Amino acid sequence: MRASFILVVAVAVSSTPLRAQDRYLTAAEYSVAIPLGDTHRFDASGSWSGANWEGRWMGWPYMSVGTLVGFNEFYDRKSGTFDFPGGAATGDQYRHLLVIPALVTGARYFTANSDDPRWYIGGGAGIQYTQQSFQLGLQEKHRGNWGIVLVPEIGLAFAAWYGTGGIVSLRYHLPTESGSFLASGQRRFQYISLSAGFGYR
Amino acid sequence: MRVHATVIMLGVFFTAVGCYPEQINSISQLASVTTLVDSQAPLRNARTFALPDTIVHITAGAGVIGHEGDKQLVARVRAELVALGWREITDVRAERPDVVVLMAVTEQTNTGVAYGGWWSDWGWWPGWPVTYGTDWAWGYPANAVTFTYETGTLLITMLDVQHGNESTKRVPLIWAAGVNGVLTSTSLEGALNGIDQAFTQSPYLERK
Repeated sequence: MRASFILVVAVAVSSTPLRAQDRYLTAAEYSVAIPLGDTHRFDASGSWSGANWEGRWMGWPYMSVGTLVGFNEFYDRKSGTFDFPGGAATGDQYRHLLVIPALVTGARYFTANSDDPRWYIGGGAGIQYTQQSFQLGLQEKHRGNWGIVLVPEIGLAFAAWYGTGGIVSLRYHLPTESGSFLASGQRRFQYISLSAGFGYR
Repeated sequence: MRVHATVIMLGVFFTAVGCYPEQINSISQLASVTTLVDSQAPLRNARTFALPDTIVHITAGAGVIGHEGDKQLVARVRAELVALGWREITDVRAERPDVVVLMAVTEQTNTGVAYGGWWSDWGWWPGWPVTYGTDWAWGYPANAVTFTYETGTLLITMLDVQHGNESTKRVPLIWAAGVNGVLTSTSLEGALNGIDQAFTQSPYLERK
């Protein structure tokens, strides 16, 4: 929670432009996410807590390159009994997954005029820190792991008023597998995020 | 305009991260019941049990749970097994049971420190400082407040006394339950409920 708070403040503050310039688009995005695969198995509830900071250099008519730093959180508290191989447990459970990707991104736009809304396809690659927490009653366990992540995306970049603009993006987060998470076996915490951001260009 | 946009974004983000589910507000939420099973042939074929009337207390705490509750705890385990169709053997010299059920209580004292040295951390509040500046700190009795609480676990173990390993001298553990929680004066009731839950979530123990 504290880490998320600090990151959100950093995202919002850093979206303040040093100077407006049409070749750059800097946006702070709010992000929601749907869990897939191992993420869904760990916590089936969606993520309403997420944010990104994204910067794009629009140096070409149809292309841009940039960076993205953000996070999505999946968390759920529920009571009940759940089975696991070799037993069962009953109690108040809290599951939390925090994913923090840092990406180098690229996008290909379908039109050239950056003053018009432009659809694009693109993607990013980079590193990702994932922290998994599980609490049952008094027992609490945490695991953190660094990995590589690929994030293909489709979206819409648009210009608004007074040198502002924004990005709406649908991203698929595909990290590498790791055996460093809770319980045995390899885990790959995938999800689809929908982000909408506003910023300056 | 830019200030306005930034404020809107901050509001959206703070709202987003503020939507955490409710936190723990009762010690009953810290209780848990965990069962482990080795559901191979020895457990599937077991029908008879022996249950000593003694609960071993492994106490490294204040002794919130005493022996006065032992009879009730043992009786509840016995009643659960009998209700599931198991037959109790009271004279183990005359008839060897399939399993022996042993019970134990562990108790620990947990200590913590509520660190109190964050007077100056409230500097962001518009009303701060209240009389004294942010370079002040908390005074007597201390910058830290210690607290303790007792936690305990009721362990119920089912041991296969028909298939002991002669070479390793190990008695196979085929089922175990742990009722875990913060201990209070009402913990006996919680332990009894925990026993019920342990058998409820172990339907493979049904023998009818």
